[in-house]
Amino acid sequence: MTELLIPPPETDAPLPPRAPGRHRFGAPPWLLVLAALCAATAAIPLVYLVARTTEAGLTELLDTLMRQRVLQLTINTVLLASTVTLSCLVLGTVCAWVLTRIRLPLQRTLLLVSALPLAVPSYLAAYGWLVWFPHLNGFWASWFVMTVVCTPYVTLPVAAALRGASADLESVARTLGRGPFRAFAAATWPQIRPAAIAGALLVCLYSLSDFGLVAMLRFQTLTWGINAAYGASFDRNQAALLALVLVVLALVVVAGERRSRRQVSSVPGRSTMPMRTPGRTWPVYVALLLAAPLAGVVVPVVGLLSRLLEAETLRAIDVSRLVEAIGATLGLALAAAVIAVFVALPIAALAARYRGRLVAAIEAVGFLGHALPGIVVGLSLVFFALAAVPMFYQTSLVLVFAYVVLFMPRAIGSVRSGIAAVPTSLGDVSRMLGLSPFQAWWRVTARLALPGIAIGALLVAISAMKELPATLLLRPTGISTLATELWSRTALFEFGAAAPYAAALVLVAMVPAVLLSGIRGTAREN
Amino acid sequence: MGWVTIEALSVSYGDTRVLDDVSLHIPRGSLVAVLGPSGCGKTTLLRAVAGLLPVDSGTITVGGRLVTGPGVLRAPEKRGMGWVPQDASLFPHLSVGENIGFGLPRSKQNDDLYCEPGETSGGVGGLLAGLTRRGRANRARPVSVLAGTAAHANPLTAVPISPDRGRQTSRAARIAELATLVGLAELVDRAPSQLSGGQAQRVSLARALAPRPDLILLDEPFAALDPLLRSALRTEVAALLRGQHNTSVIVTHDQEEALSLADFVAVMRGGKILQFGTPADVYERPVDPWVAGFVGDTVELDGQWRDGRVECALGSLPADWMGAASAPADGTPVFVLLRPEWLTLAMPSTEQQTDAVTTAIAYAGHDALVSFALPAGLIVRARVAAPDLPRIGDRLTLGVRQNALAYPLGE
Repeated sequence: MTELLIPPPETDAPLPPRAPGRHRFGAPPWLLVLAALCAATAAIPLVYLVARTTEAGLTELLDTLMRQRVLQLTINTVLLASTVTLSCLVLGTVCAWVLTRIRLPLQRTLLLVSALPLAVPSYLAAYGWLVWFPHLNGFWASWFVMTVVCTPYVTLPVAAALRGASADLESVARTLGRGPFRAFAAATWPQIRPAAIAGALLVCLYSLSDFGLVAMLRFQTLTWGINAAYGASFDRNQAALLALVLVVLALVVVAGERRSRRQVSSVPGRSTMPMRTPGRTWPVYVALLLAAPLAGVVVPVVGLLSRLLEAETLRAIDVSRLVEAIGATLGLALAAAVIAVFVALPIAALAARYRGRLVAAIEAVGFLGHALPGIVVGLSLVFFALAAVPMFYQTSLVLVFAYVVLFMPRAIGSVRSGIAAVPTSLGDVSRMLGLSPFQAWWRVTARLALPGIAIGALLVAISAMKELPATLLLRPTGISTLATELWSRTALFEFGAAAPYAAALVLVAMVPAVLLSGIRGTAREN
Repeated sequence: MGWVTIEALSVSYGDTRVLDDVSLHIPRGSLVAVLGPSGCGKTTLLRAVAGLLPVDSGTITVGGRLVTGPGVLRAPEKRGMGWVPQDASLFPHLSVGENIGFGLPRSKQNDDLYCEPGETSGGVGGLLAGLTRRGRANRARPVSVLAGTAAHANPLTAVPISPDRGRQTSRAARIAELATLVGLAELVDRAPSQLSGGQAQRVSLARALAPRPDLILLDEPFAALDPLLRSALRTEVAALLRGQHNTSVIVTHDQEEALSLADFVAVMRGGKILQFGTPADVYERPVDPWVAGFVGDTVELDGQWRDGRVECALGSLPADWMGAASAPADGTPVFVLLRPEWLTLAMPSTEQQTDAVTTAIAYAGHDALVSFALPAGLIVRARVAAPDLPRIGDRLTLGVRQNALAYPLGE
């Protein structure tokens, strides 16, 4: 999951005259056209949503916008997103500092453990807490669970930045008479600030677009409102309008995140800071590190297990239904992974090798899914399928397409870095040794970028398995995934009946995760 | 006409012109160094010859075949040239042996790709001339370049039963032959990541040589190596390239490398070739003071031309006029240029030669650059062999053992 956290390399930073890994001439037109077509698919939901909402006319739009209800939902959403972002920023930065600057036992394990909450979908964490405290609900509950789930989004990049930050600067500041805290603030914080801000904005985006957690904990945000408006009244204009408000909020956040990435400037120097031995206070540090994983992973999983092992639950397991859900989940995720990688490949190849406004624009459109909340994509594709391709409405095809739009950025990101890591000089050499451009691509570039491509596919698969809101809106009648089964049972407070699905989801999602760590391992050896 | 002929070649990146009307004639079997500061367009020139980038105008012919010209841009894989990039660029997923064999045909259907008749001089088939389909096709071509490899070919000709079998055998044998040639026979099964920088660069060279290219292009092949290894490897590589009777073009920004390796040196600046000649030409008779300063240390003085001599701070010296037009009128101010090793030291004498005071010594072991203050206050530097070094403060008389070079002012 950490791929999410690594910002794609800068595209418009000034490069030395002979930048390795890039061509100085323009991209071939066929690749540009292909990549533009692939990127265009990612824009369909947003374009259609905007077209649909503006159809109604501006006055009506403004009128609906100013309704009490819409305002309330918007305020709730912004409130939750901003408080969660703030708390994650503080907790995540402190955890990252402890991880990199305090000598603790089992350092590597602690790092791994603090990343764990990323593996748990937010609604699963909410479900786990509801198992223990069925009456948990409202703002504070949502804030708390969301914070523990999202903290690694800040911890991991800040820890990485701290490890990469030049410690020489801090030493210099100390020798010039600053105390430890002021030296950190003056010398190290500026170096890690971009990572912290980027992480915080990811948290913000996540909490804006999250649906499962707030719905389970009954805190009414925009995502909840969209689903309710869509499901209850068939007032689809209302749903579309709420979706538009949500998209605008998300795009603002993404724009902020992109801006923050521009600020990175690395300072050369030794990156290892002498670690401090904590003495007798180490339990305090360990407790701090373990707070989020405990609350985000251990509590829910133990709750899940306790329910699972109850005799009542075991008796009630509908095995064939469970197997069917597992099959549907795997099948959909696999299809989404394969298609997403194929759609991402031209965009990634273009972005890895060429520069320019057009290339940057195509890549940005491909990354649109990153900013679009799942429920918005789901809703907009419902409209789109009904209006444009009614024969596909209520088929798995539309659902897989939604996954592709939503998770293509992950595929683009890792495929792109896979391709970019292959030096262009290898391509030159293979051409000079007698290979045609396609042979060179196939025998050398694709072969060497394979780990990156596989990682992209697995990331898409993992995300698709856990996706909830778009699946709820788009799944064909009669097909349920593990996520939707879990959701529908929790909605009826059948926590026991939900347990097998939750457990299966955790186990099934582990398969690509294990594969992923395997690929990374071999990739690193090479 | 050369074996490789470049005529009026121009290349631009967007609005910046990187190569401006470059012409170069490279004789067959010679090793040519293209020397210039970074950003002068030398790598671009090499890439244009390789066909790795399109050109605006101009032509490139190799062995009489037009490879780049108006409406012609032969694909790099069809040019039959070898390419040794700056960073070795070995394929990380292949063993050393497979890297060397990458450009050798593997099976019949690949064959046409590599071996269009007439594409490559010699080629694998040349090794077994007459025994393979390709060999027969190639036999019609002059094979003088292969003379040097006959010794390698002999042990191999006995084996083949069928052409295909023969090709397989020859492929493995060629890999082994080249691995031995670059001194890495025992490393063929290693992964490229297990090689040192120098070893990787040798494999890269072997890989480029394997398909017996018409022309080998080397793009600053030693730049990434440490200085000690660099000078050892470049001597070795130069010997190897000459032993293979290859025509080679090497791009470098290191003047010592260019002068010591090459048969001919082309000095480039700002997308133009300023001078093309033998290393001695370029060093001893540079076309202008910039070239002189780029290829070596200089002693620069102001002087006046007077009937085949220049009058300057070192006295009246015999000089050669290096300007474009014929020698100037007497009394014309000129720019006088010497090499530090052209200066000689002697004990002070009563003759009219210049007395100079030793002011600084930059010691380099085998010799030293010694700075002298002339009576006029000027500082000149002389290269002095280590045993003859003066001490600081010593008063000596400077002489000049070679004609000074006189250039017109304002260049």
